Amino acid sequence: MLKTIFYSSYTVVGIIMLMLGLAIGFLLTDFPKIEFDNHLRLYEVINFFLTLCIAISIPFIVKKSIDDKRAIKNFLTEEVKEALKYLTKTKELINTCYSNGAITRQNKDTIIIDFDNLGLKINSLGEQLEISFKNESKTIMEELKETYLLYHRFVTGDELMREGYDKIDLGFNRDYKSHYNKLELQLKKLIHKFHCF
Amino acid sequence: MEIKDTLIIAKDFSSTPGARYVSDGSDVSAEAFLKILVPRLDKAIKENYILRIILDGVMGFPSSFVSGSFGKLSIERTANVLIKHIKFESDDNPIRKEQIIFEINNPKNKNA
Repeated sequence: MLKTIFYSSYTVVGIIMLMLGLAIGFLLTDFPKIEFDNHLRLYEVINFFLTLCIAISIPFIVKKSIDDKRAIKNFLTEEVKEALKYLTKTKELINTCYSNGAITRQNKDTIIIDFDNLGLKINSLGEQLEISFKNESKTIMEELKETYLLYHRFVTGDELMREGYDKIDLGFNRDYKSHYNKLELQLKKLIHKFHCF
Repeated sequence: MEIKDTLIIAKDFSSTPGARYVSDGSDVSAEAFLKILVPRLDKAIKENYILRIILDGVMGFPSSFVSGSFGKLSIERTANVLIKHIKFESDDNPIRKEQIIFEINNPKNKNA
């Protein structure tokens, strides 16, 4: 319990701010050099209360700012995880079709719909990222969208969409994994990047 | 330039666009779509106006369809002409616009 209180961010920031306030107070007292004459002066009273106010209020302001940023980053992370779900769903479907040795028209339509949903998620992520981290979002989203579009082009580009293509071959499966891994890695790296902002 | 014509893919063609060629076994192929798109695009180019294409209401755009239609036209008419005379719109999913513009700017050679 004591350990929890001592190590809580409120306590640490509070102590730091209190010490900072005291240091500022001492500096202000000594500048210009004033002789101690045992009389309480108005500016000393003001100085004391000012220091106290800084020590009490700054931790809350700083903490709120840190908490707000953390909440946004966590929210964006959840959005990436949602996008990863659609990505994984398509991978699992393709794996199942490959294992079963058959892919149907319905499977292909599901893949098209899941790609559309994944695109929607990526677009939504980009728009939200732009609100909170405008400078960082441009390059990140350009790269992510390009990888998504190339992956989309590979999977739904040609052979898989042909009516006569009813079995996923080894070559497609191998190349598919390479495209999939690239996009998956890029999405996962995003989570790390969010926490560096 | 003024918008004088609107093509709604889901209504004027299909809500389930499919493969590249009719011979791929799809009656909603890019090849079939071009029969609707090309005359209207040519008219827009000739009379110097913008053709608006609405991308909403479809289940999604497989790349085979996008490449076989807009990618092919980009090679034949150049990307600049297409970008100048077509305005894509999608409220359902804005990335569809980017998908098509990406294909127009980076068409696959096999479409030629």
